[in-house]
Amino acid sequence: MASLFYTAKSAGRAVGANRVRSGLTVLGIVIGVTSIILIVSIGEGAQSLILGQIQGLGAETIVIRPGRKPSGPTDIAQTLFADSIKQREVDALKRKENVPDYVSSAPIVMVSEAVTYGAEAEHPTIFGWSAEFMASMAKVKVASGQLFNEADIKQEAAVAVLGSEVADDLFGGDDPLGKSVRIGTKNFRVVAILEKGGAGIFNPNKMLIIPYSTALTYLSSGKFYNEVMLRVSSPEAVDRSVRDITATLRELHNITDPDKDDFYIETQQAAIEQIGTILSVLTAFLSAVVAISLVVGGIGVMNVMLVSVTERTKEIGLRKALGATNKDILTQFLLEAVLLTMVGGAIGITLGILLGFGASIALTQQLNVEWAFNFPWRAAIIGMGVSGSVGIIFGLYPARKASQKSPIEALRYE
Amino acid sequence: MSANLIETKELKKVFEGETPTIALHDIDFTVRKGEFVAIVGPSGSGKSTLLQILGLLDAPTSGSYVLLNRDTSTLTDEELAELRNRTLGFVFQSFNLLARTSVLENVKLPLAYSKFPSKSWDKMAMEQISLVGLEHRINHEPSQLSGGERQRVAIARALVTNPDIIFADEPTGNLDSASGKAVMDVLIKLHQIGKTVILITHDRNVAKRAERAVLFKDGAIVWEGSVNGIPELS
Repeated sequence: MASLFYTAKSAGRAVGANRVRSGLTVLGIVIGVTSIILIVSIGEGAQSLILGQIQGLGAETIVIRPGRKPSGPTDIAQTLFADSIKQREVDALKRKENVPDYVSSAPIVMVSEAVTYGAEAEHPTIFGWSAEFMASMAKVKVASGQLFNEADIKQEAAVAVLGSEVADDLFGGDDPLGKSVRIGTKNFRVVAILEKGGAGIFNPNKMLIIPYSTALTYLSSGKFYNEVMLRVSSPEAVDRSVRDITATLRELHNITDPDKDDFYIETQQAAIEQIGTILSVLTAFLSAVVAISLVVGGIGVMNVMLVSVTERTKEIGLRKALGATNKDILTQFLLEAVLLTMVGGAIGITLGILLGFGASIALTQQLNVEWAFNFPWRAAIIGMGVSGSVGIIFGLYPARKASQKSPIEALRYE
Repeated sequence: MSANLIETKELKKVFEGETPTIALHDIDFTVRKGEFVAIVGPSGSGKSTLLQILGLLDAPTSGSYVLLNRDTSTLTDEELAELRNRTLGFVFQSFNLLARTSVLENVKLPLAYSKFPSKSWDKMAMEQISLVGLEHRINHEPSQLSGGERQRVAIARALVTNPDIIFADEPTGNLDSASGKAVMDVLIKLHQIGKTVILITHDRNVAKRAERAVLFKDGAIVWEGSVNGIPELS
């Protein structure tokens, strides 16, 4: 049996002898592995960004939504129009005897209206909310003016806080402070402009915040909240508070069967788990799609190896005449196929990492977010493993064919 | 134990097909250690078929072939490969050198399948390259060599594992007369240092440089004797 080192050297020489053909052969593998690395790299970046933002909400934040928990896209509508959370429920949750760890809360009313200023019309995300709660949660500062406060909320004041992009789009270079914008049929005085930044799930740059009480009275079709954000005293109090909130709302709504709950509660931990699962499934699905390109690449390698075996029939005969066994020939051709795919894999990993790094820079600039580049070690190792496996799987048939050639017939081949 | 290196009895080779062709008829043939035997005959007489069987590259249809006291019909593919590597050396008419591979690497090729330690390969190959007078060409590729030089590389390759028997199949067939003579000089030198050489040729003048001749016609041995007395075929 020839030494593996010598066989590997011969394989390297054979692969190197036809550089252009070898390069074209491994293109499918290169594309496949590059895509895997890129997808995993971007997927991990997205995961760490989203999880970071959810964690940014604060571990002690609890979100209460009306309706059943959506289990699919069709359930979203029933959540939007469910009316089970109103001021009565918020008041009940504020009572210490119901939720002892309660610290603060802020209902949210989503408004679907255009905002106009003179001839300019925009469609920002309009939240009826507490401006202070939002600013502290999204960690965004006020660029100019002053946020509306609890008194404004109580008085249903027609005031608005604009995100930086909304202000720019509506007012251009003018100072919006003190001017009025029209939302639906009502005018709102601009009291504050937010600083640019803090983008994420709640991108404040494209947001317009008005008091939730005003939104409820003037811009909502019903007298219910779309969401209530509630803070408790500590992250450790979250589980206990979820139980307290559940009990309070069930009692208020006379619910005895948990399956008939007309609200659902989300915590940071649950959201992290949910998003982690979604992204993992998505990454796995995309990787499976990419695997098809690896199979196509593998078929290309097999095809070229079959051609190579035919071209080198005489060489196979010579090697056998000089003492090579079937196993020696099989090993040599198999190593050639594996070398081809591993080189393809290595190029793919390098390209994937470079593109992933480039994508993280581009996404950071374009989306104005901190899109971290995570070196995809696991994907790189899997990429090399998959490349090698493709070489073995698709190289085996040509290598076996080569090894089984009769020495004399191979020597006679012209 | 027999003194013969090679001994065949009633060796027969039939190529199957629509009309089966009998390439060898009951060949009884022996070669003793250190002999230089020329197998002579016209094209298609079966001499190359015999060499392929003697070289363990092909199997006979029937009959027995004993090589170095081993009945070759009982050997596995791995044992046959090992015997080819260790005891037989081949020189082909068309040289059969690996393209884009240096003289040194070509000569080392059989060592890759041998049990010799890899650190001794360069030295062993260089000894044989020196024997055929090509030490100044070790880094050249076959395409940079003349026909005679290529054949001398093939001879060095055949010798590198120090085999018992050298098979030379029309070694001068693709060469001009000067190169052919140089190649034959090397084979004679090998015989003189004790190697057993079996030469296949259709050229009686080439055959005359051996010490014994076997004349083939239509797959059968029709004459055997001294190289000076090879009869003309009718």
